[in-house]
Amino acid sequence: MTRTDKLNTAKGLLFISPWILGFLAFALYPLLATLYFSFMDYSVLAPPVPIGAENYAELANDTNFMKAVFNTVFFAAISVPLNTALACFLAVLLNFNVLGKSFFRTAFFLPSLVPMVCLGVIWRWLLNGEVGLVNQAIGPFADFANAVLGTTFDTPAWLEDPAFTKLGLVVASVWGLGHAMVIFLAGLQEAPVELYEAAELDGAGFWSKLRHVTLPMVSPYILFNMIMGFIAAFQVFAVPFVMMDGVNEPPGGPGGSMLFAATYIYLKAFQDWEMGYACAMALIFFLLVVSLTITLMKLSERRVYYAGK
Amino acid sequence: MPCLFKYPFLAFLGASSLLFLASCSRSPDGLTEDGRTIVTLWTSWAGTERAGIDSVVEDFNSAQDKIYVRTLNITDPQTKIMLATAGGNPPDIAIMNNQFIAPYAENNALTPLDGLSEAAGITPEQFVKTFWETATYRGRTWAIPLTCSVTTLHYNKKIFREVGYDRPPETLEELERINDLITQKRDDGSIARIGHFPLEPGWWRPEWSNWFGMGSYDGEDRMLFQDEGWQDAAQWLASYHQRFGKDELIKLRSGFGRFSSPQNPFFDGKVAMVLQGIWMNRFIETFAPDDFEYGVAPFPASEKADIPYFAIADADLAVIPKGADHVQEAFTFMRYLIEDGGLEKLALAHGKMTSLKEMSPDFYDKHDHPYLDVFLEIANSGFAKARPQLAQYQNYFTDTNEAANSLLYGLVTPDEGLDKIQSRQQKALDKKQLRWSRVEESYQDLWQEQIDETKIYNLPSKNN
Repeated sequence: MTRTDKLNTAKGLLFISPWILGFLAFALYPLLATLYFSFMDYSVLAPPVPIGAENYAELANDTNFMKAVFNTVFFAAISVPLNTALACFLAVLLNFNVLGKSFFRTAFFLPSLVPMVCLGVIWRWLLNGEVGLVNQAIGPFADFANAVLGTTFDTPAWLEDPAFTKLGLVVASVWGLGHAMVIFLAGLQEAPVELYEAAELDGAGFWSKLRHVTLPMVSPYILFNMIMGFIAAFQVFAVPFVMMDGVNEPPGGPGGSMLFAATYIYLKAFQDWEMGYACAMALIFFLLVVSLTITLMKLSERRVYYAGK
Repeated sequence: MPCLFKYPFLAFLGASSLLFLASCSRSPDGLTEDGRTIVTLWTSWAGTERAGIDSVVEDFNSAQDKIYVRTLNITDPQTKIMLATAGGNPPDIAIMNNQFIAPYAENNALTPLDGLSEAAGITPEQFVKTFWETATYRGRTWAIPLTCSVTTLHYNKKIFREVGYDRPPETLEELERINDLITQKRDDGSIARIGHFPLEPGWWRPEWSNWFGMGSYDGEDRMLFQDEGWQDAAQWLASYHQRFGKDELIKLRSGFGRFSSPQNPFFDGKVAMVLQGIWMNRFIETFAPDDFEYGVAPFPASEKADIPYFAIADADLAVIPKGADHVQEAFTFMRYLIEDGGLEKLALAHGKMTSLKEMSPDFYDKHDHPYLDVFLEIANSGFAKARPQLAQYQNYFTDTNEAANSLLYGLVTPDEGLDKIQSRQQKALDKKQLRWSRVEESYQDLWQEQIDETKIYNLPSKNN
């Protein structure tokens, strides 16, 4: 390495030093500390006491932990594919050259700017079993179905009935698809026009073009949005926490149906003051998200088309 | 220096680090401009309750010239005080609920007050026994109880008259008979009004077994979810979904308005009987319709229990977190509260009771609660008890709340539900006991040292 190279390396390092410092202090150190504390009985207030793998052994038999894993996976498995598909569909629609295109794009993006806590409060009202707008909107359909089919459908108590709470949250999560939609829009605009022209010459219709041109061209975006969506879904916390707060329920919701991984980690760390246990749990979830991301990348290798390759 | 000018970026980085570090440190002297020691007080009291403590603090600040108490409002006090204490920068005084004394004390996060109380001549005999007990744990005193309440049955007199009752129920079984009389269903089967619903307001769900003669914890090493008290309480909770229907109850509850609003189900007649504390009168005055008529009586126990009624005693307590800068000054203010009428003024402002056994005649004259005597009698009856002192209280509270809900809605059978909660809570208790056994000796020695140290403090005398 010549003197100039060394100087350049030093300069480069200096320029990224704020990032390096930030990474060391706010990512690497907490990660290592999490690992360290996961082997401790640590209440934050008192010095940690080493207890070996006790936290992990306890985790294996913790039914609430299992419930939190199930709830999180259930929510992620429904909300992520649904939101990705909806975002993609909306992006395709908003990519048409229609009057007021900018207005519609803004209108569909706006809800994703609403802060999480506000979102929680708003949806608490929208999903209220008795006076909520959602039930008022679907009520007439239920009545109609009952009158015609002789059934006894009733509008659900979204926030109080354990069978519906997570579905309510999925409905609420649709508000956040604006970001994914914008990414899809960017992807759609990158799709070469000549491909569509060629497809049209071959007699392809709307669906055919969508299936054979659009989807392959936006496949890297689908993968990206899926991965980001799963990571976000595994961290879901603020919205269900706030939604449950207003209905005088334990933070885990009725029957523990809204106990998500992040909620349980938070409760253990900051309400039960079992920071060591919470750290062990956080590590397990970290590994879960990492392995899920790797699996998604591997599975999609043959299905994602990168134009640059 | 030339080197820094040559590398402005380095200078910037250094300066921002210094600024960051400086902002993390505490103010050096803690004195006012005129040289008075600043005592910081953290409370979650807001609105009229905040005005009450402000007025008492103002009296104290103008009554002497050595200490200046500064009040700060916080939300979620339990977490904030914990984090501030762990960070080594706690307030001098914090106001917290009684159920958090055990978790804080067991984690060595509070200053024991036995020595200071001795120095100031404060004795347990000055306080109502039930309330004083909330301030002690593991044989030490950790707090001074301030404003207090006991839970009672609040009932809607108009609805009672409608069903031919002019007095409150005397047993829980009678309460349930009245409940059936009051409850009205609409044509579609939904509930328009219910007599009593254990989840409204549901603030004391983990304690329902007490009305059947037994709490959830034996005070030593056993949780009692499979004992008679909870067995009966679970059957009673389950009777709700059996009598009224799970879906109907869920639907009813989803239509309840917020507690502090005119849509509170007790105020708008959706629920005719609720378990509530002394503060309820203030909310009734503010939010209930003008013609709302309510009565207050002891919440009756089941015929199976050997007590006529039961009440949960709740207290707001003043503590000195571990690591507070001005322990002596903080305690001087706490003594002012109990000895110089500060507490009475505070209780009047909050519409509550005080923890003290004796109050001035003025207190009774000025208190605006129409049923104050009922609360006072219950507090002194021996049938009022505080929530269990558990180091894992929050875990117990969250978990038992959920279990009570599941039992009431019939999501689990009583046996199944109690089995699960007993196993989880016994495990949680065992874990804390094990932890305590590891640190007990060192903590007790440390506390004794602190008590001996503070015993000889010379607390400034009255108005000095």
